[in-house]
This record gives sequence, structure tokens and C-alpha cells, in this order.
Amino acid sequence: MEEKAATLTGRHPARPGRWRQVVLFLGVIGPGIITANVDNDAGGITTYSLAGAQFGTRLLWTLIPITIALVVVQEMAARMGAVTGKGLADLIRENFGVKLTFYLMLALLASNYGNTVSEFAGVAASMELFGVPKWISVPFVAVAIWLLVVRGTYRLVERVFLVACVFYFVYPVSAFLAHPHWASVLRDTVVPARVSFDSGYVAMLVGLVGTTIAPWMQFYLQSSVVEKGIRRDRYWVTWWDVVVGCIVTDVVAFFIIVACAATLYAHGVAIESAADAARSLEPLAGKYASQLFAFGLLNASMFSAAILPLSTVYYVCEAFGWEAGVDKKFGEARAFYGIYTAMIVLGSAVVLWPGFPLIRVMFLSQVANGIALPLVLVFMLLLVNREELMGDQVNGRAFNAVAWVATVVMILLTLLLVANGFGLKLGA
Amino acid sequence: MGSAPTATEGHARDGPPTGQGGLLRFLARRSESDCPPRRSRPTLSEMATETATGPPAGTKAPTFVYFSDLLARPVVDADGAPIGRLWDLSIRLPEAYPTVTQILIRPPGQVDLLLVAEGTQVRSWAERRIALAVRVRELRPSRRTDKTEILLREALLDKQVVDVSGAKVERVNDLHFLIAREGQLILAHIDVGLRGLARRLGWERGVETVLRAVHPRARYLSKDDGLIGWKYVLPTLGDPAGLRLAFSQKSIGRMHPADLAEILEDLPAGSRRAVFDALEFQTAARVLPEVDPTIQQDLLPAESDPERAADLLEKMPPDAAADVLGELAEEDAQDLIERMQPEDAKAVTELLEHEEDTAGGLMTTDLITFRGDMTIGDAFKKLREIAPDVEFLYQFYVVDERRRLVGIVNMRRLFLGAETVPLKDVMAPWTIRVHPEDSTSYVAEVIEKYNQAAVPVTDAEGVLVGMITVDDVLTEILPEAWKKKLRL
Repeated sequence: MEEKAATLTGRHPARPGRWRQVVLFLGVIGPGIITANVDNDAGGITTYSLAGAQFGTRLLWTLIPITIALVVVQEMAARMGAVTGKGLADLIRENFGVKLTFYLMLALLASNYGNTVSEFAGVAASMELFGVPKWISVPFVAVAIWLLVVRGTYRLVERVFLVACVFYFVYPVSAFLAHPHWASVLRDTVVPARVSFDSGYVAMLVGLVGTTIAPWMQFYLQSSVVEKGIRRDRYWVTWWDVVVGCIVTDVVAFFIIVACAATLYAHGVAIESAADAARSLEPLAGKYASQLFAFGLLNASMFSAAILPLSTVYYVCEAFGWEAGVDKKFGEARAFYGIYTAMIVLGSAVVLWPGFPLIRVMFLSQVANGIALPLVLVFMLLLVNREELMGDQVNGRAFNAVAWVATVVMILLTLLLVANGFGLKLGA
Repeated sequence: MGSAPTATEGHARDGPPTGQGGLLRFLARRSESDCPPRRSRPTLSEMATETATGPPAGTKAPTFVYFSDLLARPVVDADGAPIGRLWDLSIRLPEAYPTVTQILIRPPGQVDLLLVAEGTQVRSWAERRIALAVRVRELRPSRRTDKTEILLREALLDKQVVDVSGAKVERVNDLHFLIAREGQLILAHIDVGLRGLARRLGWERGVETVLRAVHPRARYLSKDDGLIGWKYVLPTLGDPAGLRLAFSQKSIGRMHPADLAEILEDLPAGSRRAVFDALEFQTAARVLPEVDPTIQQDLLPAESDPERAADLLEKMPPDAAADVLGELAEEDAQDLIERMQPEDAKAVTELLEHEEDTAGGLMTTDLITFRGDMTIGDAFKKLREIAPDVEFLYQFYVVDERRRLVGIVNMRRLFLGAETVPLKDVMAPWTIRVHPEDSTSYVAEVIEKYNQAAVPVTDAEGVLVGMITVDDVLTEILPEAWKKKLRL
């Protein structure tokens, strides 16, 4: 293999002939793009819609730095997976010992539980747009997801979800049909203008970052890379997969914000419910806007509600050496099935519980997220720079600088997020 | 297809080490037991009994200590002056019940410096501190140890290991040592249980109190929960030389290839390859066909060591080799086929031409044919010669001069007939057969309907081209759902 001497850091290495490249790409594609699409979950769509509706195009400039940070972080996770052949939880346990791992897993479990709750809230909201009450839709979806995964048909369904993500193309179309002022849109994308420091603006900025770069994604991506058996010589394909995935995530975010800015913000409509958010699709779908939006939100919520608990329980079991996998029998993998079932049952039950402090729980999950993310990022940076693990694939100096700056900024932002109690707004 | 012992049997049968103390000899007695009993581990109490009834002089009950407890303890020298904290311990690999050979001490405030004492220089491992029999200035700074020496904290604690007795991959929560009468520390068990986890977190007692109240029969409450005897533990070291040493000690060569394959599937991709590379050639060739097809291509050293890869393929039954090659990129597969012996290469190439889910894709060319005028006596003679190289020995085919199938002889008919009877008089009068393009499910139906262990495959002219055995059909027909769906 001529690409054996490939360097994985930052730049993509020399590649084989063009036709083979395409074939290889299609074969290995997946982890990065799937992670990116799960990233645009119920919380993501809500946050981008809110950003566009409340601030118009004023926050678009954040997307470029966010994309760079996202690429840097995800690329490290993918590279570690390809070089070490181990998951992130595995590496953290082996290198930082059991105590740190335990508390980190506890924080991640809490934050992922909160995220699962918000996915089920997304299911409830979207089905209500179709006129289905939540006490029917939520239990039904919960049982369906549980069965899908436990019966082992999940990977097949993953493809279906992925295809359904074509839904996101409605946002660009809707954005174009709404005839925004493109010159100012482009200017706001490149130049941070009208930056303000009032708490609403800062909170939204933090929310955008927080919803895009989540701790669990790094575990999920690294494990997928490992499970796909991608090794060093095929890594350049994964490199592209990750970069394309990150860009797609943020392009979608861009058009959601533009569409909402051109429709809701332009008419001074504040988003109070999912039905309001759906009006951003009116230029495209007219009176069917709400059905279209509901379909997209439902797909995103279900996709993430299936992946999130599954990936959580996988890495928790990985860290503690418990048997995991849907190919194991219940008696062999009690912890695996137990935690997985608990996350789905409790996650959906909370949404149905009348008077449950839903918003408070989601806020607490944001706090846990905020505590876990910087920890995960620091662990990742320490690990990726260990020569005994990564050999010559440790970060380059420039790459490290970008990564640390991104990490520090994100730590500051998450501190702000926690301080501001932004989670309260997401629950709306 | 029994659990055929492989070439490793010779040294896997580890006799008691000689020239050691009585205690060690006693411990080693356990290692004389043959195959690792699956899911029955030597328990703590068993070990204790063995050691307690040990040498006649030994009246004291055996003392055990956990690594996590030791790691917290300060080390003092012969004068009682503090040196630092215990950082790590090392053992030598090929020993059955390894004695701790070196102890590494971290002086306070030092980041890069570790001091080394020999295991024999420890006066006591007693409760609160570890007392050395030497003075601090007699200690030397640590250097990288040789390959047969492994550092326990670095190579075992929190790492994944293979439990040979349960054929599972486990994560090490703690290590369990026996304090021998002479004062040495002997690695007895690893701890993979919940109790070990709680101990590391400092909650062992707390969890115990709670469980006693709510669930008095919890496994956690038995002292030996999660302990696995070191004899059954295979560390997954990154370095193949160390691994090979470890293998020589454990009974891994006597595990069934299917169990080994499952272990490989459970290991992280990085260790998987290292473990596979360290397997004896014979074992590796038996294990590879049993591994999930998506992982086979990872294991076959097609790029790093194509000669070994080609040798492995030659050693495998041709249908299994063709399946592995079918998973590889075409140019890699071609390269390997060119490196194989022409005969094996030809068989594999022919098999590769058939569609995967047809009789042609399932069949093997590894079969035995006789001529009809041969006597049963001659047939047995020929069988003894060729049997070592053939996988399936229950059904043979009688062919004519143009290799057309004329009859089937099952092993049963050979046994029951007289030596001088020609085969054509004992062969079954029917010739059940399938054709290369028949579907897998059709083949299964035929095998089921006629109660056969195998079915011959013939082409349009009736020429015998291969044979399909019942186990190959089962693999295709059983809902493999579970395994495969996860890695689509």
C-alpha cells in the first residue's frame, strides 16, 4: 500500500488513484457523517431556530469558528480510534485510572440522560403537530426504539434515519424562497457585527456552541471508527468523512438560522412552540410547513433517541469491562441492558409525568454536560499527545495550538453557560 | 471438528516448578489439572485451603493482600526512614505463580525518578507500611526492565485481559497477592468484580453495609467475587514477544478455536491483531475461519507479512480460505493467491468463482474419492495416509475414470463391510447431489430430507466438483442476525 507512510495529523495524506478513492470513500463513509447528523437533534434544531428568530443573522459569524473547533475535536477522536484501535472510554480508563473514569462516566450518564429527555420532548412536540397526543406517541416511540436496538436491527434502521436526514435540504430551499438580503447574510457570516454583551445574546452564543460540540459525540465517533476497523492506511477516508460531516452540520445550522431570520425574525415572531418554529418553512411548504417541520423534528429526535442511550451504555460498559452488545443474552450483559432500558424508560417517562420539573432536569443535564465537556476535551488532548499511544501520529504543534485554544474557549463558554442557566431556555 | 489439542499441548502442560519453596510447589499443583474447567475458577477458599494444608510446618493461615491497598502505603527503609510511596510491582512472565521480583518506589515530590528494590529486600508487607531490609542509599533508580518482566500497574491494572477459563475478555479492577511464609509476594488472582471496583473507589465497606441490608445474597458479599486465578489470565500486552511468553504459560492452545475466535472478536481492534499474531501458526489457522468475516480481513497479516498470510490460507480448508479472500480487496486477494502453493491456489481460485450464497460458494474441494473396484481394506489403507490433511471424514465418493459421481460411501458402511468387499458393492445405490448454482436453502433442504452429514456437488455432466458439509450449511442458515447486524 503506497499510502502507508501517511501522516494523519491535520493534512490528509497522499492517496491512491481517483476511482479507488471514490470506492473506498463509499465503503468507509459513515462515522463522521452519522455523528454529524445526530448532532442536529431536537436540541440542535430548537437552538438554531431560536437563534435565527431572536437575533436574525447576527449570530451567523459564530458558525465558522464553531466549525473549525468541531473539526479539530472530532478529527482527534477519529485519529485516536484509527491509531490505537480502542474507544475513548477504554483509553481514559487505561491511562487515568478508575476514579477519574468513574466520576466522568457518572457525569456523562447524567448529561446524556438529560439529552435523552430532550429527544423524547422533541418526539412529543413533533407528534403533537400531527395531532397525536404525547401519551400515545412517546411510549410508542420508546418501545419501538428499544425493540429496534435490542432485536439487533438497529444498523439497518440507521440507514433509514440517515436517508431521512435529506429533510434538512428543505431549509436551504426555504431560505432561498424567503429572499433574504444575501449581501448582509454573507457579511454577517464573515464579520462579527453588532456583537453585544447582553445576557440573552451571550446565552444564545453559548447555546450554539454547546449544542454543536457535545461530549458524548467524541465517544460515539471514536468507537464507530474502531468498530468499522478503520486503520492508519485508510484513515484519509475517515478524515474526509469527519470534515465533510462537520461542514454539513454547520451548513444545515446556517440555513436553519437564515430561514428563521428571513421569516420569523423579519416579521417579529417569537418562537413559543414547535408550531412557531415550523413557520420558517412556510416559503417552501405553505400550509404544509408544520407537517414538514414535524416530520424533520421527529426524524431527528428518534435518530438521536436511538443512538444516544445506546452509545452511552456502550462506553460505560467499555470503561468498566462489563459485557456489552446486543448479541449478548440478557443474563450475560445485565449492566448493558439494565442501563440502556433505564435510560429509555426514565427518559420517556419524565416527558409524560405531569408536573415533573422537566426544565429543571434539562438544566441540570446542561450543567453535567458543562462539567463533562472540558474534562473530556482535556483528556482527549492529553491522550492524543502521548507518543506511547499515538507514535508519530501525535498532534502537530500548530494543530495543538488550535486545539488548546478551542478547548480553553469552550471551557470559558461552558462556564458561562452554567452560570447563565441557559438550559432554562432550551426547555421552552 | 472436536476440540483438537494443537501443537502447543507440549508446553501448555506445565509441571510444577522445581527448586522452589514448598508453598510454590503446592500452588503449582493446581496447574497440573488439565483443560481449564470453563466457568469454574479456583476460589479464594480453595486456594487458602491448599496453602493452609501446605507444608507441615506451616500453621499460620495464609494472608492475602490487594494491590490497591498496597499502592496507598508508604515504604520505609531498614532504619524506618520513609522513602516514598509504592508505585508499581513487577513480575517475571513465564512463571506459573509469579513472585514479585521488583518493587518501584516514588520518592515524594519526584516526577521522573523511581527507586527500585528487589522483591527479596522487603522485610514485611505488614499493615500500614512496607518495610525494606535495606537502606535507602542502597537502592538504585529504575531502568527499563527486560521483556520478560512486566510492570503490574502499567501492564495489568485497568487493562483488558483474557479470562481463559470463561473464554471472556475482562477488565482488571484489582490484583490479589498471597503473602508467602518467606515474605515474598505471589500474584494469585486478578479481580474483575464489582467488589474490586468499589474497593478502588474506596467504597468497599459502604457498599457491603448497604447490600447486607437490602440483598443479603448478593454475589458481591462473597469475598472471592470476581477473582480469577492468575493461571487462567492472559494479559493482552502490546508487544508480541511478551504475549508469546504469556501464551506458553496459559492453556490457550487447548481452547476450542471457536472460543478463541469469540475472544478475538471481543478484544479491541488494537489488541486483537497482536494476540492473533502471537498465536501458534497451527492455532491461528484453526481460529481464523471461525472469526466473524468482517474481522478476518483485519487479522490476516496481508500487508505486514504476506508470506504468513499465504501460509495461513494454505493451511485452512479451501472453502474457508476462499471465504476469507472474498472479504479482501481484489488486488490484495490476488497477491496472496499468487504466494500460495499452486495446488491450493488453484482450489481457492475455482471456489472464488462461485456466487456466495449458492452451493458453489458453500462447497469445499477438500474431499475423498475412491474407485469402485477398490476393496474396503484398500480404502482404509488410503484413508490412513490422507486423513491428516482432510477436514471431513464421514462421507466418501466413488467416481469413474472421468471423475463422474457413481456412488456414495458413508463411514458406517466402511466399518460394517468385510475387508475384501469392493466398494461398488457397499456404496449407497442412490447418488443424492446438488449443482453449483443451487441455492443455499435448497442445499439445506436436501441435507435435511436425506439425513446426510454432507452432500456432493456435481456439474452438468455429473462430474464431482465439490462437497458441502452440514456445518457449513448451518452457518449460513442459522439466523446469524445477532452477530452480523451490529457490524453491518
